[in-house]
Amino acid sequence: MNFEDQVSQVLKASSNNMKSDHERIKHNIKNKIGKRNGDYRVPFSKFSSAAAVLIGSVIFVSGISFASGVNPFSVVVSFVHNIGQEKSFGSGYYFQDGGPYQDTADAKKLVLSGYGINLDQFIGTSDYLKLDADHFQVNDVVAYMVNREKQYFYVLAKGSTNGGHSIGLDIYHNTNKSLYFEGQTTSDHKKDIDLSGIKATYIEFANANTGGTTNYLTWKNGEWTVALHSIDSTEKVLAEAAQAILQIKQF
Amino acid sequence: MKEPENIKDMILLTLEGKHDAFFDIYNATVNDVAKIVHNLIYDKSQKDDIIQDIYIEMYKALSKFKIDQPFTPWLIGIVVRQTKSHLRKNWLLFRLKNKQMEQADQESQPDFSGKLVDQLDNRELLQSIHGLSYKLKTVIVLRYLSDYSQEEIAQILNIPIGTVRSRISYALKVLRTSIKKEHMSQMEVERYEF
Repeated sequence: MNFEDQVSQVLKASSNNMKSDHERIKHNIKNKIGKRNGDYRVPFSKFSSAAAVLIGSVIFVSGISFASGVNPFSVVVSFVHNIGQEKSFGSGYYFQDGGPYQDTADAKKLVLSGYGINLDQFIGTSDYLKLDADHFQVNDVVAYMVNREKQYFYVLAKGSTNGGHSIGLDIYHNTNKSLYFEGQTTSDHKKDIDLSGIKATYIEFANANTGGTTNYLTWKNGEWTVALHSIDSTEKVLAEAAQAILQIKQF
Repeated sequence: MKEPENIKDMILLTLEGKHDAFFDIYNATVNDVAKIVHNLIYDKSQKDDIIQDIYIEMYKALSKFKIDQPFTPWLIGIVVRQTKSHLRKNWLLFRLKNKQMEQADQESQPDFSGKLVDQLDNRELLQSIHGLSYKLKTVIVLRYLSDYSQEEIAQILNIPIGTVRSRISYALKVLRTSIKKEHMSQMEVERYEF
């Protein structure tokens, strides 16, 4: 058997024991497209916003209730982690009670390859934190407008630093929900750091077996909740990235 | 992946608002779609969510489908894009519990028959395929799982055929090299692992 045949055989064999609940998937799709009352050409924004509420669909932690008198300069962070020699490592963050806002079901979504006037018009402002072109290469930007009247929106940008580290900048406008960071790590690493007067929380998940890390820097300032994150970089890299971002946009 | 029979009728009926016709398309294609998704992702527990997104995306896009063009390459294009989009999003959002991952891993143990030494070789090769970048993995899966020609892959991915050739050639080279090593070191953002 030549190598290409072996590749083919391996891929086909890997699918043999594959399990999928096609009926459940069909049921879920029916529920979603059923809301359209059979009219195919109704705008489908609800379904594109499904991704926006994906956070909510996988959350199973009941969060603390947030007091109405929330401190606008301090993001409440919960660091949940398992320490040990886990089979697989990973991390992520999410908001209490299923998402950054109470109801994201009707969110409108905009996908772009970078910042620009289309995004500014979509969210109604050009005054927000960005991965600026001097310090970062931006690969893609996704924005969700949840409620224009209440200015509930968020922007997720992905790219890399000039040093080649992958980086993501997520900004949430007018949310008062707590952030949860969860994952597996072999070291318990969470601390507060100062970003030119802004109190931020640094969290690092590490896999001592591979030397890999995922780290997060999060802060809140007024109307904005910010999560900056990177893979296989350091606290220094992330802090410098935050400083660069904040230099461009001074709150 | 073969073109389903009467697919054009099903599409036209769907566009007229007949949901049953849409699910006829689903039934006719979902097994092949699931196999492709299964081989494009590392965390198998995400597979059903991705399949769901693919069909919702297909439903949204169906009005833009040109009825005189082949359907399956168009659908597979959505599969590839939607899977990539899902992987990009999810590494940020939430990490599935370790137990879920392990359960999914156990459920998706490949069925390799033959001698033990072949089984070990095949597992190593499958691991190496999982370790490829998304671009390379896509061409390998479409070529060697779905048996698409290079021309068809170029059409599906909307890239020049020369690019398809070079990606397949490079991917095979990477696989040949990597299966000689004991451990894969390449990590992918899509896995959101570290």
